[in-house]
Amino acid sequence: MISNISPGDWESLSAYVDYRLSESEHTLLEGRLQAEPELQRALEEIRRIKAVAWYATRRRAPHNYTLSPRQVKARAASPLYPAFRLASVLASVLFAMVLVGDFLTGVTSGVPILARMAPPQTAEIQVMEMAMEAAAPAPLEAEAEPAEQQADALSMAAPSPSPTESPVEESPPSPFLGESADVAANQAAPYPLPTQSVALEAMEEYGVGGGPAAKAAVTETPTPTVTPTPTPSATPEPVEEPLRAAPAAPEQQQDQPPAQAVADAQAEVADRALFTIPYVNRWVIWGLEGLLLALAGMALIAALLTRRLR
Amino acid sequence: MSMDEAGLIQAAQQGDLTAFNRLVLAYQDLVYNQAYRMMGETEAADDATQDAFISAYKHIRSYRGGSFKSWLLRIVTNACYDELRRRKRRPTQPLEPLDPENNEEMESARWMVDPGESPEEALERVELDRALQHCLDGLPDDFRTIVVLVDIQGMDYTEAAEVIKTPLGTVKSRLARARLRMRDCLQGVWELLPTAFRLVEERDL
Repeated sequence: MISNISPGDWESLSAYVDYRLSESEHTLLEGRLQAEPELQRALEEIRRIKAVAWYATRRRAPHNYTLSPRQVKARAASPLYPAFRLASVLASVLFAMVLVGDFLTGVTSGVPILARMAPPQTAEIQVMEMAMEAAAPAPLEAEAEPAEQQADALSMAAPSPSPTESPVEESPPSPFLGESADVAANQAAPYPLPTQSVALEAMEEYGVGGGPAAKAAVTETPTPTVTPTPTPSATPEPVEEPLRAAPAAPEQQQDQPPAQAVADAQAEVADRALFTIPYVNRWVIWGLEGLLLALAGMALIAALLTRRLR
Repeated sequence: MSMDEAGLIQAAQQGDLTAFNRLVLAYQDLVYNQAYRMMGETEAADDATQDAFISAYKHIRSYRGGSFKSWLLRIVTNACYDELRRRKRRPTQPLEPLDPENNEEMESARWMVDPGESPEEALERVELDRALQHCLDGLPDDFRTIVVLVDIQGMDYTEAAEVIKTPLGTVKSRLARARLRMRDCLQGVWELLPTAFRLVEERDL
């Protein structure tokens, strides 16, 4: 018959058997033991468990466990083992560094490092391509917008030069982007970003923008002196001709990139240039790879040596 | 700690293998018993004991005084924990020794009997030993460790707490709960006990 007492009483009895109760606890428990037979039965059970454990446990070692010098030496690791272990750690760290480096330089995305170091012309072409992509829906929007709004946009994008200055000879403000933005982009980029003239050359070279007529339309920026309320009966004034000439040549309007699109493209290229590692020394890469290979070899030797020791 | 033991430990710390082996001879029964009760098998206990002494020799320079017995028991207990964890990851079926008479596996532990005992005593001890080990095997590892240290190895709570790196209060409560489980498990084998171990009313029956 098993005694039925609380866990607290059982723990007190367990400590009582091992003489681990304080003086007061000991006296209190002995008084309860005199009065409670259930508690006394539980005490007998604990004593019996201790007796069984003590009675059944004397066992001698089956043989001597003394160590021989050979046994100790065979189990000891090679003195080079810490070096091999360090090599394994370094190889792992370098491997992680190479992976991160690959990620940062864009190799993992399929673009070789040398391709990232392309000449500036490549970036200019990219600008024009992006501008052309962005300009695809432009004609529809241009038709919907009144000429006055286009004139306002041009006047906001570029400050109006004085009538006495020649826009081409005096390197006028860019119709696509402000001069200050152009300079800032050139300073931020490791190589010069395409400016207005470069973009125009690229347009000519790739046959984009409608040829010389478009070039003239771009370079000869009309003075945005648009009359706010044109009279319908009045004859067209010379200052309005460039603006009205643009819708008259739809093929030119389609090929010509809008100013805002080109500006966005240039800004995007400038941003990319800021986050691109411009120059990766291949000797550094080869050195890292060689070191990684050496460390991997040491780790392999360590693995083989450890297996042999076991 | 006797002066002789302290001198042996100091010599062993300086690389004297002979001094260390004298310590091994002094403590090998204790260490083997701990391993056997923790593992429940002689082969596993043998391996754990050997590994524990090798580990003790390799790390004896880290011994900073205190009870050398507790230090050794901590090493063998940790070795047993490692092996038990490994077995839980990769459970295996233990092999019983073959009986030379019928070439079948022996389920009882007759092959461990001390030839100096009478047949009745030997049988009684073997059966009791089996029952005890069966109940120990059913305990969680932490509970089994504390029962072996206190009730089998005869250590006090302070030494046991030092071995398993646990507060004294935890040792006390853990031992009480382990004993409660042992009582429930041993209910069916009380009749195997010698008369001196039976309860008062059972002896009176």
